[in-house]
Amino acid sequence: MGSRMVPGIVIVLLGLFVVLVPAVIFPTCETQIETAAGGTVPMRCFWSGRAEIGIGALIAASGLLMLAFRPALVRAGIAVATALLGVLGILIPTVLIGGCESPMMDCNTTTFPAVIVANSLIVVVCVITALVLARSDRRLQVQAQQQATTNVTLDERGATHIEH
Amino acid sequence: MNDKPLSTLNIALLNLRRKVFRTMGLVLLAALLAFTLLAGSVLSQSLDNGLNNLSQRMGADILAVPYGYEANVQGALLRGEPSTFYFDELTTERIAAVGGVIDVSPQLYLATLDSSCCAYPVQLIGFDPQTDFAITPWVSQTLDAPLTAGQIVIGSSLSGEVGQKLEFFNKSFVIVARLEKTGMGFDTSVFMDLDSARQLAQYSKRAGGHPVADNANLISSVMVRVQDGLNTKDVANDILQSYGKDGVRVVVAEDMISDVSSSLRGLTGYILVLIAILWILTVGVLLIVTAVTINSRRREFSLFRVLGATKGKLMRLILCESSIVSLIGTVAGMLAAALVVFPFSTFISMQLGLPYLQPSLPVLALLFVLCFIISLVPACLASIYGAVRIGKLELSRTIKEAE
Repeated sequence: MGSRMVPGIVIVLLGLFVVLVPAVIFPTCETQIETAAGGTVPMRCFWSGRAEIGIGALIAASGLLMLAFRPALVRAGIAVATALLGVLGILIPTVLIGGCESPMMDCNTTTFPAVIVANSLIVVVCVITALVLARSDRRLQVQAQQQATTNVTLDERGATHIEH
Repeated sequence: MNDKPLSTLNIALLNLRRKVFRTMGLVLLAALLAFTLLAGSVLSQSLDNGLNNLSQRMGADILAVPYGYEANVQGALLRGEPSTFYFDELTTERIAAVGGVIDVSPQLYLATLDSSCCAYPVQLIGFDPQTDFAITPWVSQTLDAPLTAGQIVIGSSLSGEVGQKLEFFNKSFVIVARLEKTGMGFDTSVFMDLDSARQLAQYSKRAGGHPVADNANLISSVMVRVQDGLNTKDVANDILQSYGKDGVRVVVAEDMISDVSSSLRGLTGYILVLIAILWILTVGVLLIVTAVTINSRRREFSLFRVLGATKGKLMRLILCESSIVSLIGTVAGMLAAALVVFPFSTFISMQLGLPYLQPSLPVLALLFVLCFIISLVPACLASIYGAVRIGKLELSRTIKEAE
């Protein structure tokens, strides 16, 4: 029971961490870009931070689903989907949206390293969890097959015995 | 049903799993030691590299700056803190005339408020390519000809590739070279020739005014090289005595480096003390835990002996248990240290405010191996101690006592 819950709890905590990094712990850069019309718009890293909050929330929700479901194969499927969410969480600040160009800005010095590390850990935890669960499911299936074969053999013997 | 063979490894794993909290505590201690060891050694090695780089790249023996700006020039050089301070250009010629001075080169510092590369102030340094001896040697490999108007050299931490254009105060510059990582303020500085810097000051006047825009004869500092064999401090004193009344102050590079060196020594000292305390603590705790464990497991060991296990088998069991605990703790601690020290290196260097240059890959690999070995030593010591204790145990008496 305890060890079954560990991956789910770890994923929930890491997901919450991904939410909290851009929101509270290491916020993205606060500087606003002035537009030609005289208005201001947030910098690119702000949108990366927003996307990470959404991804973190989804990861935390996946962790809760892992806690709620019992079948190993279902939990393995959730783990694979969460690992892919973790990959998306890494791609957002690095490729898909990005951040400020200067490596000295807050987003590049703190926010992005923190979310990349957290998402990498999520990917590792989820891949290991999925592999372990898939293996245990296969083992259960083999055991069930062996059990079924034993029962059939017993039935055949039983039938022979009746004939005698 | 668990159908694993009763090998030493499996018995050790079962024993560790049975005492979850004790095992977790020991793993945590080993992890803490490995974390401190790796993070501390990477940190102190990076600071050491930064200091070596600073003394190599300094170029000048003395820096002449306006009165009251001695700390600013150090901030600009060490941390790239943008500064603007000026005195008359004639100071260069005056200092060149002081006995013992062999080379002088003026520099002009401008600070931007915004630019296309960076949304934070950047230090622009104008230098004279004809007389310069501090910056040119470091870009000579990538720069074929001296820097001309409209060309810039950028620090390693600024975004932009060679051939790309960058704008400062709406004036476009072509990047012709990029400095290697120095771990100093040079990483966030932009270098251009003196005339371009003065021209830029004119442009910046429109963006908010600049003293150099009103007086083109201003410079920020004079880099001074002293004749070999002469005492740098004596020459610096001569400059101060001759031109101190004109508002000229001197920063001796040797003193600046020794200031940084003493701060670094203090920090490295703290790291070493922390590592030593943790190492001794880990050895102590592991020895105590091994002693207590062996005492409390005397009956278990006696039963193993009755079942045919040799004393060697019991020693291997103790060795296996402490090795597993140390191995898991060490790997976890080193992984955690790597996840903190490497991704957050820029943040750490900014917080320390000291020259910070991460070691090369082979040095890092060596550090990893050394930290791994040192972290495993406490487990080896505990195992040896455990083996000696088991060797001395009179297990037959234990069985009789139990009866």
